[in-house]
Amino acid sequence: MMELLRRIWYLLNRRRFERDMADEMAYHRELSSQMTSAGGFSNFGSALRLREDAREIWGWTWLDRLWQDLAYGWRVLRNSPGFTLTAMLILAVGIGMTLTAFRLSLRMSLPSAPHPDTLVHVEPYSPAGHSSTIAWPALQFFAAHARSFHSVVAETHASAIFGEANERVRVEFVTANYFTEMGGRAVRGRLLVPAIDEAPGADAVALLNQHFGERRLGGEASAIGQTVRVNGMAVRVIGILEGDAIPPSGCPSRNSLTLCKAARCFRIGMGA
Amino acid sequence: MPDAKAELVPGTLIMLILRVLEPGAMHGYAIAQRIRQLSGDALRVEEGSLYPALQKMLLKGWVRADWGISDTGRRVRSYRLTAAGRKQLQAELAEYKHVNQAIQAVLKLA
Repeated sequence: MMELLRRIWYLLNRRRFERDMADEMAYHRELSSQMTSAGGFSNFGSALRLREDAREIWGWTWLDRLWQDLAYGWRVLRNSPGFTLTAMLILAVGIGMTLTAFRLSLRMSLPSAPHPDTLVHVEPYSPAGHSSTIAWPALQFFAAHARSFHSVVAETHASAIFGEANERVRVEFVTANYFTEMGGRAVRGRLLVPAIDEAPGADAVALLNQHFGERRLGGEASAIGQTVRVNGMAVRVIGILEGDAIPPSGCPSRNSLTLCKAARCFRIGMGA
Repeated sequence: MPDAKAELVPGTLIMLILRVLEPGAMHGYAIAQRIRQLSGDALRVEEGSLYPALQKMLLKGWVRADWGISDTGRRVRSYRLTAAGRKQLQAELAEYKHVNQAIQAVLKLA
């Protein structure tokens, strides 16, 4: 600790320390040259080199070198402005384009997520390979125990049999916290709310997209509150989502039905 | 003298400087001269190793340096041992004695 303080003290007063050292070594050489002329023995090294060796002890040589390198780099760049300008342009365009492309693709794939840069996609890997789905009990375990995540959101899609006409439609199954984390807006009714839709014994509920609501259920206003059948199961419509876009999701899987039963949240998309 | 410049055993320079400074403060050149005299002209400490060693001792806090005026009226920097320096000297002497005994033991066996 004291050693570090002494090092810093040296750095702050290095001009004086170096002058002292030069004085001291000059005196040393004076005395030893007197000895030489009196028949003694002396070794004249390069004074600068010797001072550098002694200075190195204080451990600030890297700072000098860094400074020299920076100064050298600056001189080289200033002496060839054409090269400098080209390099700067290439860097600016290269970095800028990559960033813009990244931002754009984030906006397109996750249009409403308030903080797309904090999202992480989790897939289970095992020696046998990897899968794009997670079993519902495993997901529940992660949601309860994961400390690195603010929350765990799951979604998966499948096709389902809809209504009395047994029409095949595309269904998106999501956890009740989906809209809280991924954004989205209901033009009518409400979005999923974890406090209500995750509660034990909560009803199975669905959100429709605008197009679907108009076509199948006689308009947006009358759709809210209706009970519809999905795969033979009664599901209450609670809201109409803005737009027709369905966020991307993994492949339909065996787990999707488990997910929907446990989560009891539906979002019905366009007919497939 | 055919081989006037005997090499110092590595790692002993600081111990020698500490020992030479034990009786009182001294400037750099005097330290080198003192070691040379006491060794019967066998050990010569060059500027290139003396001043880095002294800087290291300053850094470690084993010596303090003060500027004074010499007999000839010149500004000189003299070094004096600190309490930490005295402790370091004892530690280095003990260590040296230990190693020396070990070497002697091996040499006698041969």
